Order: sequence, then C-alpha cells, then structure tokens
Amino acid sequence: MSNHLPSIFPLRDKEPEFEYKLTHGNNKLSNWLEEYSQLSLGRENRKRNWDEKTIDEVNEEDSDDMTFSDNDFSQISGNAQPPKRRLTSSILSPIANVTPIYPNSASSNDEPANIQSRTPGVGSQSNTPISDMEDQPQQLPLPSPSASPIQSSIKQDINDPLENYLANIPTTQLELVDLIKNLSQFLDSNNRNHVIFKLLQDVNRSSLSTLNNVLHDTLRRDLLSNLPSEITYNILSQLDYKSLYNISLVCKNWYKLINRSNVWIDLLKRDQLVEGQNDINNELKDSKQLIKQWGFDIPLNKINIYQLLYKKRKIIYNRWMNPKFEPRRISINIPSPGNNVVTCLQHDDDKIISGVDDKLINIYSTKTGEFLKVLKGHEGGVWALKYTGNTLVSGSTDRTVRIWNIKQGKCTHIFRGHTSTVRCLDILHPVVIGKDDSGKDIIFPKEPLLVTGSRDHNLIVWKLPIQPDDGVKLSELGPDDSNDDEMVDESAIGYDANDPSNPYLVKVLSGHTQSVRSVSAYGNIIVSGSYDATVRVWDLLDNANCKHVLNGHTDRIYSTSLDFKNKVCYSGSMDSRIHIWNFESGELLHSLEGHASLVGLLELSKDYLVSAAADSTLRVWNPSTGEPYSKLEGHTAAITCFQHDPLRIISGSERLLKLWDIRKGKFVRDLLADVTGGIWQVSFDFNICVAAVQRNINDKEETFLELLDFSQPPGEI
Amino acid sequence: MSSPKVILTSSDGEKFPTDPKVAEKSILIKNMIVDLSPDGLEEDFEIPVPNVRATVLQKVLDWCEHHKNTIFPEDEDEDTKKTTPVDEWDRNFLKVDQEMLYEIISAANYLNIKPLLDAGCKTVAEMIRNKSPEELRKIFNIVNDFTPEEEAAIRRENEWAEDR
Repeated sequence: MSNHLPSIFPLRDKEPEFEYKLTHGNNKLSNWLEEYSQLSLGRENRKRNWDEKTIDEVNEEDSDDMTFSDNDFSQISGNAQPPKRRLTSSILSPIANVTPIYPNSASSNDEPANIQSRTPGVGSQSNTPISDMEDQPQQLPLPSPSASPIQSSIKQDINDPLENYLANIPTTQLELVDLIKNLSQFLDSNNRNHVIFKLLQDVNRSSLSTLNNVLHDTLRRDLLSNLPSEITYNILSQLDYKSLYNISLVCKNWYKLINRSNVWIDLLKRDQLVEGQNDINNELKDSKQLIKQWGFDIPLNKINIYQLLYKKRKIIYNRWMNPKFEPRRISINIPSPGNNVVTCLQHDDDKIISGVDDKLINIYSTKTGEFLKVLKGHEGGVWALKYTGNTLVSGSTDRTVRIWNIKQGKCTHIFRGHTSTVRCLDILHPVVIGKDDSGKDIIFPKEPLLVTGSRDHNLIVWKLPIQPDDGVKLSELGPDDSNDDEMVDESAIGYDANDPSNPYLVKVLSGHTQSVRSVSAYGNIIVSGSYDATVRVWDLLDNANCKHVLNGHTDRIYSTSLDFKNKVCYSGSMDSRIHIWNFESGELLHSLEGHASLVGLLELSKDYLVSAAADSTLRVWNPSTGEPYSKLEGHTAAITCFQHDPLRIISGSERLLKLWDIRKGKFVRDLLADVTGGIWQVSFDFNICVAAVQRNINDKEETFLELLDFSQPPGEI
Repeated sequence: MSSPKVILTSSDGEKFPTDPKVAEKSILIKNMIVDLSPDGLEEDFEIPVPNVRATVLQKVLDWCEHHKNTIFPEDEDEDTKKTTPVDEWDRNFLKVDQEMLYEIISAANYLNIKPLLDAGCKTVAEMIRNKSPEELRKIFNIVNDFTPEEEAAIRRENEWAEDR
C-alpha cells in the first residue's frame, strides 16, 4: 500500500509545457531590457526617446503594480512582436557586454539550470518546502554587484534598474522576497510563469492545495455577461423560469440578460404554455390590457412583454393544477322540452356551440354565458357538428347535412343523399401535402371539402360552401331576438347527391357493409371506421378510390384518428383494442391491448395518443411505438367524453369531470362536484373548460353547460 | 508513409500535429481543408488558430480525439438536444476552473464545434440551476449593484413563482 502514497511534491516530476516552459533561455537579457524599456515608454504614451529616459523614471515604472505590468506584457506578447523574435538581431547589440552580470547565461541550453543560477535561493534547495526557506537566508549566492561595473557608456540607463536591484544584498526575508519579485519583472511572461512553476515544484501537496483554492476562487468570473450573446442565449435557454428569476436578481446586467423576448418566447413554447406563434400573437393584440391586468409591479419600468405573458400563462396553468383553486363558474341552463343529450360541443373565445338530440343547435357567449343564437332547421336530433370560421356543418338523424352561416343564424345549404342518420363528419382544409418536382408546395384540396359518414354504410365527399366572415365577434352582435321559437327559415336550397348536376357533390364513397361510425380526414386521405369491423382508407388524389381495407379488428369500430405526416392512422374498437396502421401500405403496425371493453374515443396529438373506454379508464400511449405511458383510473362508469392538450386531459363520465396531468399520468382534481347525471361533452382551451352536464333539479333532469374560467386577472378575483 | 496531418498553431506559437479526422470535429477547420484540398490532404497542412492559446487548444483537441468516432445528432431537433443531459465524459472533461471553461466555450464557438459548445453551455446552466441570487453572485464573483428599492421591486414582481 505504501507504494500508492501520493508524492509529497506532486509537480516535481512534471515537465513544464506551453506558457510555463522556459523559452529562449539564451536570449540576451539586454535585448529584453531594451524591449521592456521601449514598451514601457509606449505604454505610458511618452513621446521621448528611450535614450533620454532617466534611471529614476525606469525605476518608477519597474515598481508598478505587478498585476498591471503582467497583464500589459501578455497583451503585448500576444499582439505585438514578442521580444524573443528579435533574437537574431541581438548579437550586434551595443549592450552585449553587460552579460557578465550573469556568469552562467552564456551556457547554451534551455535547461532550468540557467534559471537556478539566477535565483539560486530557490533552485538549490529543491528538497525544501518554501516555508523552510527562512532557515538559510544567508546562503543565497546572489550575483555580486562587483560583477557589474562594466557598462556600456551608451545604454547605461537600461541596465541600471537591474543593477540597482542587485546592488543591495537583501538582509531580511522581506527584502529577499521583494528582490525576487522585482527581478522577475525582467523576465518575459513565459519565463516568469516558468519561474513560478519551478517554485511550485518545491511546494508540498498541502500548500499546493491552499494555493489552488486561492487560484480557483480568483478565477471565478461572470460567465454570462462576457460570452457572445448567442452563447448566453444558448445557456439561458436551458433554464427553467425559477432559475431565470433568480438570475434577474443577481445584478443589473443579468437582469437585462433575461429580460429579452426570445428567452421567454422560447420558454413559453418549451413549457407548452402556448401552442404556437398564433397563441402569442393573439395574446399580444392588446398588450396594454395584458400589462394592466397581469403586471403586478413593474420593476425598472421595463418588463419584457413576453416575460409578462409567461407569468400570465404559468399562473393560469398553476390554477388548473391546484385543486384548491376555484375557477369562476357560469351555469347555462339549456332549455329543452325533455331529457336531452348534448351530442356535440365546440367553443372558442367568442362562442360556445352545442348540438342537441332535440334538433336544435344553441350558441352562447363564452365571456358571459348569455344565449346568442339558435340554429333551427333539422327535423331530427343533431349527432355530428363542426364549425370553421363563420361556417357550421351539422348532420342529423333526419338524414340531411346542413351548412349554416353562424352570424346570420341561417341555414344556407341542405345536402341530401344519405339514406340514414348522418353520424360523423370531418372538414378538409387546403394544406401542403408534399412538394412537386420543382420543389414547390403541393396544396390539396384546392378548396375546403366536407366528408360525411352515415348509418347507410356510405360516406359522401362534398365541396364545402364557406360562409363569408367579416371578423366581427358573434358575442359583440348581441343576442338575436329574431329567432322566434316556432319560425324555421326555409330559404335554404337543397342539393341532392343523386343529382348529377349538383355542384357540391364530389363523390359517394361506397364499400363499408355496415354503419360508418367515425371519419378522419386530412389532405388527400380519408380514413373511415365502421361497424363492419374494418377501417377503409380513401385517396382523393386517386379519384377518392378505396386504397386499403384494413382488416384486423374483430368487432365494431367506434373511433379513428389520422396522422397524415407520419402516414399512420388509428382505430378504436368494441373488441377493446386500438390498432395502429400504416395507411400508405395498409400494414397493421401495432395492436394495443389494455382496455377491457369498447374503446369509444380516441384523440391524437404530437406527443400522445389518448384513448377512453367503456371500462371507465383512459390510457395514454406513445403514438409512434404504441408503448403505454399511463392508465388513468378514477371514473366509476364508461367514459363519455374527453379532450387533451400537451399538458392535461379532462374527461367526463357519470357525475364526474376529472382533470389529469398527461405527462405524469396522474389525477389532479375533480372539476365539478354537484353533477347528478351524465357528463355528455367537454371542450377546453388554455383558459376555460366547458362541459355539458345533466343535473337533477326538483326531480327533473335538466341539461346545463358549465363554464369554468381559470383566466381571471388577479385583481378581479 | 505516415498520413498527412493538420498542424494547428496556437496563438502562442505551439504546433499541434493532428489527425485530420480529429481536427475536422471543428467545422471551421473542416471547411478550410475542404476548400483548400477538396480531394483530401496530400501533405501536412498548417492552420493557424490565432484566437486560442496552447493550453486551451490542447484541451479542445483532447475532446475532439475522444469524440472522433461519436456521431452527434443533427441540429434539426432542438428540443431533444436541450433536454438531453451532458454526456458523462464531457461532464468530467469540463470540470475545470471558470477561466478555462470560458476559454473552452469561446474556442468551441470560434472553431465551430457545436457539441462541445453545447456541452459547455449546459455545464454553465448546471452551475446556475436552482441557485439563489446570493449563491449565484458568489459562484460568478458578481457584485449586487441594485438599490434595495430595485431589488424589492423585482422580488415583488417574481413573488407569484414562490408559491409552488
């Protein structure tokens, strides 16, 4: 074991390298002195020639602060010609005859011996730690002043400072220390480092450690402020908001560093508090309002607006996740003659639109909950509904599809052709589906399309007549009084799929042998799921022909999802499985097991596939590998509705509306405590949640829309 | 015949004969080699690195040597890159004093060695994460130049974040 004891003088055997090795040991000192003198002049910006310089002046500069002169040298040797480069010219120097001061310097090697001869007090006691030096102060064989009288009559003034130091033999430790320090100024910077290294070679481990600590602490520096700004940004973009807040309190400069837009835009996206630039732009439309409502106290009068937006969004998010936080709540009673199921629900920050199985489509204000409009016309319950802009599409048990102008509250088109209930629909917006040979984007479809699926086994693709949108919010128009209860506007024109001149008909998709229960469409691809247990893939670029019949499920299919970019589609079935298919090849990629009964609902996002089943659980999956992430247990009946975003899931079943943390796969809180019946539909965004629920009031089942708002400014709570 | 080397010369004049494969971890050097000899090196090729001193250059080349066979993911997925922790070897490699860390990051930036730059940035981020302002001042040798009023105002603005 003793062999493994560390060396007492760890640097003893280390070879010096780089800037602490001896360089140009044979360079004439006189030349260096000449350079030094010139450089000193230059530094002081004096116009005089060095020849005229007096001894006293040189002395003055020699006794400059060590650190200062060291910096100065390294700068000079880095930028200007270093003195060593002048080596070749030194031979003819008129002060060459001063060399006798250093008797050994004529020896022509770079060996450390050369240095030892100059500072023998250290070099000759190589086994003695530096602290022991005081025992032998008198043994120092300093260069004798008597060796120096031969001087150049011309350059006398340059040598004099060195001689001055050497003229006095130190008599105390302090004088010796001073002498060594002063003499080291005559070394070039590399060699000064070398001397320090030679000294360190005789320092023991403990003292090295002490020195190391001193050095280590001295080298602490402001790493954020001094790096190029893009690197600082790189560093900041690794940090969470709490660390950024701590940075803002360090000093003024660091406060400025984090008060930059891109830091917070980046963090907003990384923490998924916004879903894209659109969210940010929307929020900043009224930045004065944002500052007024969410800037509690604006330090130094200039908080970054994106930092403020981060704060707003994070506070709202924290409220969702805090079970003790009570959101502002508005209950909207949907007047209905009977026990009506809300079959469809969609909202934005202006309006909430609900479809009910009693033929009506009701529209309410998101801000106030007040009733805005009712869309009347269907003769049977509405079972499929979707809107985009001012255009709303609905499908009903009356076998028709209706197109509505939302703001006018008018049905503009009636599409006939299905021979049974229209159960599902999707809208195809023009999107980029690829690039052509010249690299230009291919956009498809050219105009918005509508695809409807029916109990009659067929799907029909229609051109979607888009309703003009003037951008005015429906809620700003106020409630519509003209909607007389019994009056149904019959001005809508009917179009029949059987009429070949129907300008809106694109194609009838036939092939399924039972009800079409679910449809998902994007670009040129339509995916339909049917009670016939197959999924069909239709390609609009190939005359909407059936591209694949995906066989694999053993029972009715209730839900589908489509990931166009990755060429993958998903299906949920009564056989309790979820299948992941490649819709391009028709291959079954994964069959996900876990649910114990009907998988009625599927929803897909970039990072998650979420499924909900009649077994009262939800499951979260990796959408590309099918790996199960989590199983969400807590409901006591079949899941009737749910929605998710990158952060959370909200799900409804009999009496319960639950919020889950999607990333942790954990239950967070119940959102409604007083529901006595079913929860039919749920729809949420970053700020609010809307749920269609049933409550028993005075022995009567009544239907409500419950609006929960988490986004109130702190001052208004 | 030994294969040609890239000879890198540091700011302080040290020469580092380097295997081209190692030196090409620096995109700057890689591009220089490609520009000047598109068909590969036929003889030794000297490249001055005037912004980097020998000790730092040696350190950077140690890193390049260690990672000469590492394939780094492309830039395209910024998110993945930001969430992956610093490689264990890199973490130890970057356990240096702050001056050296500063110079390695600067050199990696100048030489365009993105993975080393990112590792350096992550290391600095690690030094900052979960530290109080007072600790940060100590770590980075910074003087608090806020007036008490300014500091109190920022604290109030940030107060909401303390709750959770």
